[in-house]
Amino acid sequence: MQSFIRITLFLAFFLSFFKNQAQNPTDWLFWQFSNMVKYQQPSSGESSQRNYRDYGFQIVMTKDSSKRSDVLTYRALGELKYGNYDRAFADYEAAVKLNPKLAGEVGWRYLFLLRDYARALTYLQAFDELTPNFDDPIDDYSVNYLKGRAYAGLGDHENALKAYSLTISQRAARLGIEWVDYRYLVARGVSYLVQKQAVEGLADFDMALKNYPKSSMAYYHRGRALEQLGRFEEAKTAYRDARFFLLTTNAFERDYYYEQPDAAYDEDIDEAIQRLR
Amino acid sequence: MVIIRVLTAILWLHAITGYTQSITPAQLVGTWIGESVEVDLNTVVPLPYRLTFRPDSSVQMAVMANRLATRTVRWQSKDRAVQIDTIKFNPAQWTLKGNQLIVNGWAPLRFRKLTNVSLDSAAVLKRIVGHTWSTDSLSYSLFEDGSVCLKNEKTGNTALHFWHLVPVEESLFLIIKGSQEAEDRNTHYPVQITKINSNTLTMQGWKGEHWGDFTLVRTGDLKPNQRCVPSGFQLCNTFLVPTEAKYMYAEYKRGRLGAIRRIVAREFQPMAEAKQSGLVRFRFVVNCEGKAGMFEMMTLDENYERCQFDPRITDQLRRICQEKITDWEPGKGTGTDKTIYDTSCLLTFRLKDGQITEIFP
Repeated sequence: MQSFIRITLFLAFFLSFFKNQAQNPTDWLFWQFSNMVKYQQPSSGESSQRNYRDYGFQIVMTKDSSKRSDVLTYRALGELKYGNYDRAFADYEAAVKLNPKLAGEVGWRYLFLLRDYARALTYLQAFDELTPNFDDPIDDYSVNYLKGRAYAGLGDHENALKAYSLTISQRAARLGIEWVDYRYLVARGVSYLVQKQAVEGLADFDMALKNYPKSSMAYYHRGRALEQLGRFEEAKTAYRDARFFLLTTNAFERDYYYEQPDAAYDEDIDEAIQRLR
Repeated sequence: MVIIRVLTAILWLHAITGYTQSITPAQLVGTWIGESVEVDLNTVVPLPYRLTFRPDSSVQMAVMANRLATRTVRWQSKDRAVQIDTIKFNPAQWTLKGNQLIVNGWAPLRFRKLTNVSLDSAAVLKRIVGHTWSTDSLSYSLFEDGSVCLKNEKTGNTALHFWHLVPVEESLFLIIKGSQEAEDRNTHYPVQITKINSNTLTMQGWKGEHWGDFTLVRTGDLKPNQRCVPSGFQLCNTFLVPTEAKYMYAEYKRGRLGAIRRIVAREFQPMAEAKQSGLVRFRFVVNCEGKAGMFEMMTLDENYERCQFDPRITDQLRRICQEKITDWEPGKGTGTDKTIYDTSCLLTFRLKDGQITEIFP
């Protein structure tokens, strides 16, 4: 929380400085003065050298290994976002050694932010084995979904399907199929398509679209399933819907912060539409 | 371990406090020119303001510019604690280091005591305008229309800015600000003109990484109709701090990663070479015009150790990133902030035996 406040204030500081929005030209300086009384220690943003040094100080000074491992993960995320992957990796490895419960979070980072599927799978499995009969959450994902993604990244769609099915069935049993994250259904559907099981894939895309009717990627992959089944007219409609929602909805499925692995792009959709002309 | 912790604590405290002394009212009286804001370790940006502390307990705050409103408020210093208007600082926050005043806090502000050098602004203006003045690393071409071309002699980059002479008391400051995008943003470090003759111009201020004196030599004369023509990669915010600029999302216009992947698939010639596995990461800046520059490459092996890949791979990727992937969209603010920003971006390639297996931001 403290870190969040620091980052927010620092961003505000920068934006105010460079936008020169002050009503009196000296407002910026006056505002700086008033904030310097409130925040007396030098502070910089998430990926700054100062943050790196200060976290380093905390890592050495903190006796509690759990807290130390947390600090390592904070520092690693800042480094990861700025592309210092070597430093991020060293911190994540040290964090997991200190606190094996962080294996899930570290696996998540390796999976989505470094596309290191083998290493991600090792950590996700280690995390899952801490509570074997429970589909643990990791941030806003479930461990079995993430394991499925790692298997799929390695090209092992058979095991990916098992992992996706486990998390989907458990969630559906607990909350109802309508509460299953549509991205899980799309992911399983895509693996079904790779395995040439288009009927099962189509069922997943249909369910995904019930749960989130504006998903461009769900429409796109639905079109692929229909194409595999020889239902070309319906496939064309699905691709057109994919294009429509790509243009009209928030593009978070693509590379906004980090990319959803099944994201559909303009070129994919255009190429599919051309193919069916 | 305990000894290491104690030593680290001492070093850390030493690093953040430095050799400074708190300040007395008599020391504060006078004019202080903004030098820099410390935004990170070893990273500063300009502080184009001045403070004039008067013995009658008033302090005038002003931007280093002509014809802009100033603000005058009360000040006092009691028990070495400075108070500006209603803002009461702690004693340790205002310190002196030689003729440098440091206001400590979340982003330390540094000012320098003005030593007046009396100069006639009209005479100085007449001498400097229409000429190119150079140090060994930088040339200033000061045009009559108020534009200035700053040429980095090492990189050959030429940037367009705007210049003014700003009088402060009897002294004269050369203020450079703006960019090809806007005239009134991103003021550079103020520099005080201390001496001028027909062929040399001596100034005092921030130069490169230090504050001090530097002399420029007149190296050319500008023709009456000559204009500044920028060349090379231009930042809109000259003082971009890339670690802070990474939150604005620059987008690739034509389908983002999808399009980038297609360009790479078309342009990259894979090499079936064992041991060529790991990451090639490019970090670069997309400026407010949507152009990419300031490329940095980092290569890591599969264990995230720094390594060197076959140049036939890295040269290809560098060429693709710099010459083929060009349709960037500048980063915008989020929410209601629609300002265009220079943005720090990443593009990373995962290699397995010389083949690209993943491309990610």
